[in-house]
Amino acid sequence: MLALALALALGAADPCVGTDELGRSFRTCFAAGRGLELSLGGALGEGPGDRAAGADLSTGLALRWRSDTRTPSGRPEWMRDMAFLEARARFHGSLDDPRTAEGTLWSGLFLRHLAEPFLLIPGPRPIRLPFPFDVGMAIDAGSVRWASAKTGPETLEVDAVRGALLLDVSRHAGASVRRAAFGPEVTWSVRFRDGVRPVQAIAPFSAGRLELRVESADGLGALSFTGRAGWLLRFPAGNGAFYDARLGAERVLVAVNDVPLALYAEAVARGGKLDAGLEGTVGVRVGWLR
Amino acid sequence: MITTLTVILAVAAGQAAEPASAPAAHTPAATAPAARAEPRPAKAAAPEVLPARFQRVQEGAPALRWGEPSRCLVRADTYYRVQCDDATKRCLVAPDAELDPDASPVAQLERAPGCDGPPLTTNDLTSRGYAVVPALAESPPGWYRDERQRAMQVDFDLNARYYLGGGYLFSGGPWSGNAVVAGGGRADRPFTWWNAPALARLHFLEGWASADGNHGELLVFGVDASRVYPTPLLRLTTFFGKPRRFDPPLYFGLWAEGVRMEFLETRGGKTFDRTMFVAGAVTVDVWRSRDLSDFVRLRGGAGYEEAKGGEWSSFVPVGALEGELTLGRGGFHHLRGAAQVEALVKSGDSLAPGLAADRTRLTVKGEYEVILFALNNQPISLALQAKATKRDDVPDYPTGWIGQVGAQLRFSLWAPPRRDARTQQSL
Repeated sequence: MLALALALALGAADPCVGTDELGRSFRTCFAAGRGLELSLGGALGEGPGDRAAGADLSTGLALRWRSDTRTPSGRPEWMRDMAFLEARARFHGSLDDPRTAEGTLWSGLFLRHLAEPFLLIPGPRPIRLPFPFDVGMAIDAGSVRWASAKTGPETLEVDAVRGALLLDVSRHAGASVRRAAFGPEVTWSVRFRDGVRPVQAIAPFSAGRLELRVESADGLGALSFTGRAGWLLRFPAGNGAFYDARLGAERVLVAVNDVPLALYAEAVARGGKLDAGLEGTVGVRVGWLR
Repeated sequence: MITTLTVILAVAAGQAAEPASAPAAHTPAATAPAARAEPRPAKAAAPEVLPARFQRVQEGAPALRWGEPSRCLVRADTYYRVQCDDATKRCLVAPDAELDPDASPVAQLERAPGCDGPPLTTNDLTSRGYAVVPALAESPPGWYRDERQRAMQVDFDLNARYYLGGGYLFSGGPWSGNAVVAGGGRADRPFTWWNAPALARLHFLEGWASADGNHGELLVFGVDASRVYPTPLLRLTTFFGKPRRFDPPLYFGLWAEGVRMEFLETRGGKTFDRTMFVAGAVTVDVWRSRDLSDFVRLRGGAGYEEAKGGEWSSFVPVGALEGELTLGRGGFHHLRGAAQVEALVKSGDSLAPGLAADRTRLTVKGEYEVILFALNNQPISLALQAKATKRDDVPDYPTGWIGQVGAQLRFSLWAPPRRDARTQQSL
């Protein structure tokens, strides 16, 4: 009886814990953007470099960590999203036949929110001017994209570091919009290909980045978009434009032992001086520790 | 001596509702024995200096003191925060809110702890002889409040930040210069080293690259540490006339770097690259500031590097004179400089034709960085750089002095107030 009373009390205290007519508790909302994610789905479309085509198997892994901070008075201050060991792979037929893979060792997106954004001119009496955006930064370190040698030369593209300065307008877009940010990006990557001298490519703020993420308050649904485009300076030769965009949507449908199981869909478009690809993926995703 | 209003005022506890920002609990001061102080006649002027409706803080108004508790005060449903000086019988009273241009409260105070409840009334102050002085709410070191009590950071520690920047570099030699992009992280961390205060300076992902992709440098990780020596390592006593003691500046420290890469284009248009995988050194501070953040020092050590993807390797003894200096009240001006000698010896057998077995790199560089303005408390700075190198470790490359000058705009994230930042005393 004591345990039941305690469970009922806990259920009443936690808005994310519901109770059925038999008094059994269950989780009704989840913390989006954190925890260990495993994804399994089917991919359709052209992978980079024609290395994958038609219908394939797609898998994904990501360890996400979100640690927002608030001011002493309760206002959101830092919005901090990080991912460790984020990886995806596409298999043709079976797990023995990987065609493409990509991963990022660490990525972080940091936005600092203020009650009233401003531009400060320093001096004995500082001057404060209104500024319409929050500011932030996105950094990706250790990103790799690999394409197998099954249908062409094996290719490995290493984005050693990507960094973007961001202006965020989500304050004007409603509470469900976690970020709506844009800004210039700098990248440095090296592309290795069988039989070809390595090609270095940098974008010295000659690229732009767009970040959008919308989440439902209960963490059951999320929509995200990351787009990058601009001009790459490549050494020894071959400067040119590039684009790389990823659109993703996720909806939690069921939870097993309070572990959410979501249906997800992703679309990726990439081209220009990057290996061209246009593919879509639909599958299920398990999220632990949300 | 400044104290919070003593408890004479606690008699008024419970006379008004709690303010939104005030915790309900009594503070230690609210139960102090001074509550038995004799009441004094009220001052009729008090209600006039403390209006029932907020007003913008006036120019020159004193600020409440950071780090001392503030008591809540209510007047006609308007909440203030108050600190009183028992010695001068003076109370500084500030709105307990941020104000809009019409002086209406729009938000809770940022960067200030909640005032302690239960709230007092003006009569609690004036009836005991305290003068009420309109004031500005307190703010932490390195922060400033304007007349609407909005907090903004005015002191920045550029030794605790990650920056991204872009600019242009002019160069002599085979490369005439180009647009450059730069970035770098720095985190200075005080710690205790052998029972004495010390400072570790961490550098990570620090470097630059030219827009054409042919020139650049990247340091993956570096750390150095300086320590206070409460007992001097060396003392000299002179006996010419009155005996006198001198403590020569012999402040040892340690320095290390892991993976420093450089790539450049030679006269023939080929790429030369080298990677210093590891380097270590001992430092001796010739001069340093009390908090160790500024210094001039000598550094001596050695490293191991490989060139052209491992075609040949070198053992590299290094000696340097270097320094960093921060100037200005808000830490707005920074001077950094170094003069370094590297001797490359003991290469492998596959050294490039034309290169001597013993080679040298001489580098003299300086940088001035000034904070221009801040966006949402993140500083934007301008860095002016000059560098001269003389080297014979690169095949098909000039061996005379090559100069470079450049300028960059840098956007820094984090950059908290410096450890010795001042607090605002008045508006």
